[in-house]
Amino acid sequence: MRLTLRRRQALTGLLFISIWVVGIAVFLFLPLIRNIIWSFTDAAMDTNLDHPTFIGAANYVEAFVIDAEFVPLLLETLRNLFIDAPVILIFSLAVALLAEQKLPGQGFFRAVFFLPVVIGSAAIVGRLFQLQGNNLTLLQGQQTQDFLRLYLGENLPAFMNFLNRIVFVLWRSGVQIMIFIAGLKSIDPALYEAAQMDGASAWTRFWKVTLPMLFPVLSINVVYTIIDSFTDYFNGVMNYIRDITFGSQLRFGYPSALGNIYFIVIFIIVVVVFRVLNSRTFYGGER
Amino acid sequence: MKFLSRYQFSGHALKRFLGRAIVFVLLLDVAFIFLLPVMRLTSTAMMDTTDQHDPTVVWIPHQIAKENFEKSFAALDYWKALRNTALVSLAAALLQTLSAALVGYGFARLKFPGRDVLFLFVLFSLIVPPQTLIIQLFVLYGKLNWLDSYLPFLVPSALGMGLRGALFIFIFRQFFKGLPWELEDAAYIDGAGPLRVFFNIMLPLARPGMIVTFLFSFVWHWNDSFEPSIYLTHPDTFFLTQHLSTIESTMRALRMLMTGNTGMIMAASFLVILPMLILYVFVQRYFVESIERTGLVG
Repeated sequence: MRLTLRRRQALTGLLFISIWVVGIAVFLFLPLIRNIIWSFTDAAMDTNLDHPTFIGAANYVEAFVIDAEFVPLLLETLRNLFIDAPVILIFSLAVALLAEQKLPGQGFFRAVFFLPVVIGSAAIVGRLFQLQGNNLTLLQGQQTQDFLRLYLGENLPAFMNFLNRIVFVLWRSGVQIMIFIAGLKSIDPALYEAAQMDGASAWTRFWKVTLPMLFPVLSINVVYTIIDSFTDYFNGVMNYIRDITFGSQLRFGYPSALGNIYFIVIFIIVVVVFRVLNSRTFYGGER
Repeated sequence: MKFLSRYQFSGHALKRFLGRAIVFVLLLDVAFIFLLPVMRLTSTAMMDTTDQHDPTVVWIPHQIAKENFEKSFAALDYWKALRNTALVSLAAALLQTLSAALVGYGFARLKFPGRDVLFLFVLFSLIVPPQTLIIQLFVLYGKLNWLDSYLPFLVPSALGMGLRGALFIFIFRQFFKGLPWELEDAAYIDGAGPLRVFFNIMLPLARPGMIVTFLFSFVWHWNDSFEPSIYLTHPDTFFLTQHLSTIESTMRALRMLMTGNTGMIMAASFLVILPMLILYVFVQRYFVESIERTGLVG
């Protein structure tokens, strides 16, 4: 049988993605569906795992009504996201813009900014922060702290905490900085020249050329930041689910429900954010 | 007049110079923030307990505390764990790069029915958090008898999934979409099949994408501690990050008995990231260049 060119191409295409089709079916959809089923059962280490007992929506009720830990942890995750994400995005854009300037040591600066990506084990950086406490602040030395205490008084620990948090947040922006640099590289220099010819200042050029052209990259970065903060090593929900599954309780049905709730929350946030951003995005290369 | 115009010119130049100087100082500041944790880590790793609590010792210890490194070397089971980590990260990264390139190419260049819907599933899999799947994967791997082996890291990687696999497919799709069609057309006219076109023509062109994917995948596998901590239970199979967690929890348990010696955990952390640091010194240039060329941004 002879195939038409279109048919043959369709078959080849399916051949190329076939490994992924198997992968996503076995390692994503199968677990996801079974997870939904289990979330309505009482599955646990000591029950019959092949036929767990159906208990209706009891797990979901427990998550919101009985469990005193889950909802606060979820809210904390959301709060951290809304505080950290804008800081990470603004900071990484600023650093990317700075790193684009032709200056001595450009190579060195870039190497340093990508460092968190390479040893970006939040696990390791986080240990530093947990163990060292106030030792790892931007302000070293007793004198500086005494000096600040004069002005801040009681607020000094909070201020130090804030500085600590800055270092931590900045350390989580490595990938975003990288994506922004790649985005800046892809802006056509002719646009800047034209703007300059028309007398636009550097400030105007940033708002009228750089930012609109960066919007597609910005939405990638926003989504990445959201996902990253939801699956962070220190994410309370993540550790809580792991703990009740493999640590203290060995329950499977209940954490399945928690995982589903968590996923739905992420899904809604990502879709809303993406919609809002996409409606304002200008695609330079679109035909 | 002549004087005035010269004056104006130099004023402009001065402003420019000052602007650049300010940017330079800002960059130095930011670089300092990025280096601070690494410097703190290295410096604390070399301090014994006395130095750590001595307020006159800020960065440089009185003497290098070798026992921090000796103890953590043993506690990490360093050579064995290093070999485990390196081999599995390397294999998983290679498999992920190859499978993501194949799938990404399929999505970018070949037309088949349902392609756009299937690609939405790629994006979908990106936002499913690992904690939602981990229980079922644990049960699945248990049934397959894959627990305590490295298959849970390798098989999904070979099938285009694995640690952030969807992101890599996305990167390759963007990259292949940006390449011109002429090369492929010429090869097809010369009678090459799609696989041949892919391996002989498109894959060599995709080097920047492959470098980025490989390095990211390698680094993320190296640093991952969530999945290994669940699939691997036998200490002989442990990765470096797992031993690190064990050391940490042991120290936390002992903390009531002894003074807080953070030097050892810092030394252990240092030993875990040291191979990455050394690697980074050599590949840093490719890393930066490739990221700029992937057209990640399209």
